[in-house]
Amino acid sequence: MKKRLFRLKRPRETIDSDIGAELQFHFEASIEDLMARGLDRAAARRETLRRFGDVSGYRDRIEHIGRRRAARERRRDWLDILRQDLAFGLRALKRSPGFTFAIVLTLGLGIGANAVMFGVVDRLVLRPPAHITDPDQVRRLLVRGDFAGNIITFPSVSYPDFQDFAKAESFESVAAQSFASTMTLGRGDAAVRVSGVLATASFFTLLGLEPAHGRLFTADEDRFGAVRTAVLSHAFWRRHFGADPDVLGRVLDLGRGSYTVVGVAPQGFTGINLRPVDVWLPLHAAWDEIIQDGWFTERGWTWLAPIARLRPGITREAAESETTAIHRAASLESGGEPDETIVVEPLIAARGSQAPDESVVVRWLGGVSLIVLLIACANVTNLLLARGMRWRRETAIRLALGVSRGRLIGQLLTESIALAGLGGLTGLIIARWGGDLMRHALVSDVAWIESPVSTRVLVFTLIASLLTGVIAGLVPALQSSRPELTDALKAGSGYTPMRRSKTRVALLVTQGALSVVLLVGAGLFVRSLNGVQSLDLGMEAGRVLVAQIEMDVGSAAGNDRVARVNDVFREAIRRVRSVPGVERISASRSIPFRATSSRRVAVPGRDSIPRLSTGGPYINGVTADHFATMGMTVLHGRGFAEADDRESAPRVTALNETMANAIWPGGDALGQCLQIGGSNAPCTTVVGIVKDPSRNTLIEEKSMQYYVPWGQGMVGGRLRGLFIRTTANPESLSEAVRRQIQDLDPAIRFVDVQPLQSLIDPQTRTWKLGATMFTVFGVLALVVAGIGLYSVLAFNVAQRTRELGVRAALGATSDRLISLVFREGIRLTAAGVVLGAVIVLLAGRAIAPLLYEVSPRDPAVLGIVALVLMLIAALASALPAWRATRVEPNEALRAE
Amino acid sequence: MAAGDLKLLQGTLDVLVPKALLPGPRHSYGVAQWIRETTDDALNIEDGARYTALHRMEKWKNGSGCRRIGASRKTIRKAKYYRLTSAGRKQLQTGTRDWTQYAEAVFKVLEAPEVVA
Repeated sequence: MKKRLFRLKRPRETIDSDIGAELQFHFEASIEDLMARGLDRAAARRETLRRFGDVSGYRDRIEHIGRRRAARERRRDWLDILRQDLAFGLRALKRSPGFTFAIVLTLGLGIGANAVMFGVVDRLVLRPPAHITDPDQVRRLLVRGDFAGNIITFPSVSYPDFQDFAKAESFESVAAQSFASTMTLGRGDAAVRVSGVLATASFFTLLGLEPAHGRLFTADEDRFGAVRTAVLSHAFWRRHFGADPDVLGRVLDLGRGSYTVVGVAPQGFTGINLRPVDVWLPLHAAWDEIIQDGWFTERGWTWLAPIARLRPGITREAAESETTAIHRAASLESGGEPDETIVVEPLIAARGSQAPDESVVVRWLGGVSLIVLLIACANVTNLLLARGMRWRRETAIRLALGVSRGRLIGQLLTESIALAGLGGLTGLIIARWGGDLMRHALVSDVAWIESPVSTRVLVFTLIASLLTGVIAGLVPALQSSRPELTDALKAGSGYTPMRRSKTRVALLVTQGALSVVLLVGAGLFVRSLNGVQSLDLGMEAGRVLVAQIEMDVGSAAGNDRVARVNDVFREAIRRVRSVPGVERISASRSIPFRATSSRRVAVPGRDSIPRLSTGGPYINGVTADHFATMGMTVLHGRGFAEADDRESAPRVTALNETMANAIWPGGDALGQCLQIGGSNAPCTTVVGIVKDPSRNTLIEEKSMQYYVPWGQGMVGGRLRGLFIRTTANPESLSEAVRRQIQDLDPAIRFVDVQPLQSLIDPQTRTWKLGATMFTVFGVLALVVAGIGLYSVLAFNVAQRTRELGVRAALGATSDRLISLVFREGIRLTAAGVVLGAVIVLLAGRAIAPLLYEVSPRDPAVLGIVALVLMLIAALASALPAWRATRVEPNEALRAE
Repeated sequence: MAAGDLKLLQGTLDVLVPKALLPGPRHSYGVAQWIRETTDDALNIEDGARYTALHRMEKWKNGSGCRRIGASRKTIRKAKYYRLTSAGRKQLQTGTRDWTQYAEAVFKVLEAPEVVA
């Protein structure tokens, strides 16, 4: 310390002038010496210079040495100070472990929440999918067009659209992948369901993918009729083949054919989306796994997600206008939609028009976790301020002794950064554990490739901790390094005139307000989730199992194949009906929340029937008793009986409410004639009207749907779903049902039986994610804010011991003392609630799109939150208030 | 070969400078002057090189051998005085030993009887 006090600063000029002076002295002394030996001045000068050598060269060298040394010394001084401050800070922290623990825990929760959310946001929003070379140049191509009066961007494009894109000069190359489809690998009991995706060979080259093993399929293998090859995903290779390197060349009994494994994709590669993929198949060779005849030529079938690599220097606008022109010309020629435009979107799905709902919610949650951290910061600031007050005298003495204010601030900041560092460590532990939990429970359909504590999360946490330390510590450091010296030195510790710090009040109010915002968010999401879960789906899914049967009927001609499948379904209905616990059973062409097909209808005497924006009307062929099995309500007329379910029966149909009201608004649909297929078709009589069931998603616009008895042959194709209503818990029956069906026919390759509810659950995931995380963060904020309020009140009471003692001595009752403390807590919280409510009212609209049938200004939610907060305020005030009544007047007055 | 043309062997100055400081603090000109006089100017060291060595050895932590101790009041002109530190003393000891061993080895060879094959 003493040494440092005397050390002179050595900026560059000082070093240089030092050296200058030294050399100056040398020359003068040398010249004098030489002159003393009899040389004249000029000769002495020459000799001195000769003896010295290259003056400017040596001078540079010496200056360089000097400067390096100065830099070293500065560094060392700085490290010394840091070490001292750290030691000082840690000593202080050790002295008050409770205080330290409270702060570290608070910050740990805040930082941990942020680390978890950063990990998720990083994967979903910030970073492109893994293993893509130069991902900035890769774009998604989508078609935007008019659909029943609405301009929308379609999530996929048709094969001819894709071919149009390949002609554009703007792109270096173009490629595409299909949607993922569930396929069967192996057969019978050993069969597993895998997620398969078709991709063009150019898909891999465009992305610049390097296989982990073997190779990727080539353009030659991606041709119609080529020998079938497959590339395994790394995860699937490990899970199913135990990472066996000999898997290359193995032939897989997959889907409709045999596939030779040629390679394994690199670890974590999931194409351009984040969902896990098990196998990659060449699009042109394996097309019949996923799509049907005609899908390569018709613009009506959209099933591809195309991507392109932009040529360097080409802007998005240029690429869009070029592809749009090509697309429009081609559409004109083929009679497609002429007004569509092509949009070029970023590779990261979350940044484009097709952003998955989770990614939107996750962004919100990222913001929310920041608020939690802010609340934690405010808390820490408050605690540090409180301690700064307690140490006023010590600080004042140190200042009076001449310690500089900068040094004092540095010391306090070092301490708060050290605290934040400890908090960061705690946060990492929380992130490790909470991140896993969140991923598995809430964002499960993303292929997570890194641990929740990845390098990027580590770096983020480090930066967040540093910033937190500075933010939380700066105000206390500034304030407590500036006590009014004389006051602080004069006053005894017991006599501190209670001037409430404005900063602390502001912090408490802000904390309260932010907690209100988070809790209101939680309330809104919980209400949305409740709303969604209690939605009327138009069916009663609770006790229903759905069975899907995959058959291998080999080379039979198309019609025979379908007939064989349908026979198996008929047989299955007969067999399963006799399983104990089965109440009803039926089969249908479409499965709820899966693909539906539409078929044109006409009504005699009308030019057209109304069109709805949801398209359709959608047709479904069902067997007898289907409505009762599904728990659908027949509003008018009747459902289908066994007698309807055969070719010779009179043609009948049932409409959903929406369709009945759209075509016959007068409510007289029953008994009317509907021509299925067009105006040339014979009459089908409307015999029933059912309540609208969900078609594709939980929350959708109403669409026109109608039903015909399967056996009348008005819908083509095969039966897809078998529905079983059970008398008890459906899952207990699923294995028995599966066995019954599996044994039915050797051609049955795989039977998948699951509760109907499991088709519905994924639909509510976004709300579940929002509700859970908002609640977690909201409660976290509440706890942290509660601790903050408590510690401030407790501290105030401790500071006011003397004042309270005087009041008690003058005859104040306990009630009065209690209300004194309570009033303060309540007043602060009430101000926070009001401020929070204002924020909610102003900013609420932004979150509205994520909610379901709840207003962001929902008064019930706001009211409950206000109540909860006041309750917490009362709780936090209780202990300090009780303590205030225990002040002994005698002791308080004497304690000086 | 004239004595004044002797090539300066590497590390020579790192021994000579501390030796110059051994009797007590000197200013830099004094160090230069002492070495020049003691060697009869035979080593032909430029004064600039002496300064460089002096600065290089200035104390940094425990690394080098001498420390600047500020200007002396006695000299009117601005001169820096240097004092040998304990590390410098140690460096001088090892340096002297190394140099002596080195020189002895060289002499052994030079003074060996000529071998007749």
